[in-house]
Amino acid sequence: MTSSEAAWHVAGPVCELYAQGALDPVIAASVEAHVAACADCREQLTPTADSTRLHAIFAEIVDRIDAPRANLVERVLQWFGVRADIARLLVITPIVRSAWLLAIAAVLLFALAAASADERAVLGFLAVAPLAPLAGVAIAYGSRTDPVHELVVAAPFDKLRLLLIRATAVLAVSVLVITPIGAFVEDRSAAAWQWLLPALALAAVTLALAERIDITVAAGAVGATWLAIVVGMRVNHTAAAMFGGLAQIIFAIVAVCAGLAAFVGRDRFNYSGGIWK
Amino acid sequence: MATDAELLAAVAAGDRRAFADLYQRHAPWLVLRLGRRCADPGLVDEAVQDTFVAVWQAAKKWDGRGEVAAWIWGIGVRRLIDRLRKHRPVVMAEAARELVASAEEQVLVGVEYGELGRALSRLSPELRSVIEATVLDGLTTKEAGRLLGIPAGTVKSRMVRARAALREELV
Repeated sequence: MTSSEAAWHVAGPVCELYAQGALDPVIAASVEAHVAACADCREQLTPTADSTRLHAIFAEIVDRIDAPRANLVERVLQWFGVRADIARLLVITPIVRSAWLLAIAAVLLFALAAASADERAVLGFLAVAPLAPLAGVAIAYGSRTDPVHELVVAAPFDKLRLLLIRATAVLAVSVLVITPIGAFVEDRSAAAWQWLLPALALAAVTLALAERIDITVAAGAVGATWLAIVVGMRVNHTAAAMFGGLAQIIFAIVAVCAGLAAFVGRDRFNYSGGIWK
Repeated sequence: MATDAELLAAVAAGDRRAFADLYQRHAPWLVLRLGRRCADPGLVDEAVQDTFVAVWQAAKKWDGRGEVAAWIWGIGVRRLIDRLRKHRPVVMAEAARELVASAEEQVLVGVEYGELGRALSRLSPELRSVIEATVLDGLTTKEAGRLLGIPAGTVKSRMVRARAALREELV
């Protein structure tokens, strides 16, 4: 260190001016170059800083250090643009942890294997595929199956929003799992997507019903009705028409209507909703 | 009193008390120094948060060479750049436009009374801020461009012009 460096320190008034941003730019740069290497002058600057602000910043830092680190799934979701709190909600959704995805795949493969004839395989697939997300929806929100159900009910969070977030997750995961299976159904690549609108319609009807009755019961009733219709159409040899163009439009209309009904009755979720009793 | 290096070693071992001490020592000047480079106090606060969260998590990675303050500054200014990238456009602080630096960092100490100080204060604010970002803040051309909101190529050409202007003033 040269003698001129040793002699140069930041004097009190200079500290004040620097903190206020009122210092001549040349001197301010000198202050910064010096302060980077001089602990005494750093200490001189400390009283000029806003201590309330520093405390607020430190409180945030401690919060962030104490927050649990996001796990892999959460980080992947966040990477795709999902907000951190939503990602956490999705990860604690039991369906993500449990083996229901494997169950879906097993049920569908079974449906395919059991039906040897091509047409029956396709029908079996189309009949069972829409039920898988339905089961996911019911399992994910039922008070009997959700281990954090009490927490969820008590949380200051819009219940309908939570329901929709989880339903979206279930449907998205179901589509990812089931679509490839549908693509293996012989000679009927259309089956890979024909189940989507029925699945959406069934889920929407279940959600609308869940405002009034327990969601597990609602899902069971909707699923049973669906199977009854499919079997009935099969007996009448009109089952193939069930997934044609006209039927798809009907499914879309049902999905939209049920979605609207669920939206109109949304307050029931938050105050007296069947699934939240 | 513990040195910065000792505090950082304790932080690496998970000592909250040492972390609070380190914050008390280094947050004030960091807030002020970052505040001269960004007009939005909210962004500065977030950058300081990011910095100390990173210090907590990466304390083990400090190689023990040089000043702890310089290490913290290196993290801090880059976190600020990250925040700025997410929040452009941001109005740069008037002070930050009128910054200055010398060709060599140590020359800055006491520079304001000498010929170099006069030469620097005659530079345009654009040229001075480029010199400061690269020489004083220790940023690469690319990082300096992000901090100042200009392309890296512009940083380079302004650096060349600033050097030429200083040489003319001083020789």
